[in-house]
Amino acid sequence: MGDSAQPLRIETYEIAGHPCLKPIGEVDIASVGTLQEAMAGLLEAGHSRLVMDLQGLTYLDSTGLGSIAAARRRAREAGGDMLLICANSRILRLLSITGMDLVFRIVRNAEEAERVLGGESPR
Amino acid sequence: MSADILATGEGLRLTLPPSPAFAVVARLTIAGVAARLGIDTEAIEDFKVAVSEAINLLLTQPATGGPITIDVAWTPEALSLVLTREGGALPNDEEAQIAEVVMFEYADGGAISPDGPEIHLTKLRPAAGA
Repeated sequence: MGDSAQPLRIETYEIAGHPCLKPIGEVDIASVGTLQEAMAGLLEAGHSRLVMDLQGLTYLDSTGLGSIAAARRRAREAGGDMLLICANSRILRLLSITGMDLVFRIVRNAEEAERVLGGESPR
Repeated sequence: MSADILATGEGLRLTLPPSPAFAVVARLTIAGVAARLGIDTEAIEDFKVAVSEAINLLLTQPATGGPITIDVAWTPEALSLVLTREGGALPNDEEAQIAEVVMFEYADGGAISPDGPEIHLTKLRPAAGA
């Protein structure tokens, strides 16, 4: 994780027809609202199968994790789910400490996500 | 900070407005002090997470409160913080419990006192932690 604060920006791309959010920078109590808005936007647009690419994060705390978990709950209530892309050892450790590694399906890169999602129809 | 001060022990106080925007200021300030004390990069990154979670707990308390004060002290053995915010109790919901778990995991020692409320965090310096 980085030595200096980076403003959060969010890129969106598709994996096997499913929207993927890629937050880039730091997610903490000050920036988590940006991530929440992006996730809510996709859910409100009717997307229930989401991918969250955590590879661009330089910092993530429990507020960010909580928001991602809340978005996953909403996706599942709508009949979908959320897949995480993460190979960052520090974030994987955070997921493990909080038990989120048992809740989420986690893959290490977009190619693996493509294979996992390839057989599923969007939304 | 002179070399003598770093070796023997000293302290400073950081007072921050009670706003999420200043969480990063706390993280980076404590990281800077930890680096001057010889704490390695990985351990500093861990402590930054612990500090962030402490700030999260203090900012999400149910009552409005005043500024957050961080008393920073160091000895030859450890870097210690006491984070306080006057004006209410700490939250006790699921998110707060997760924040506490993370905070204590990433520090070498810590405690929460509901009076104040007050959060104590410690990170060992290399000679003591090796």
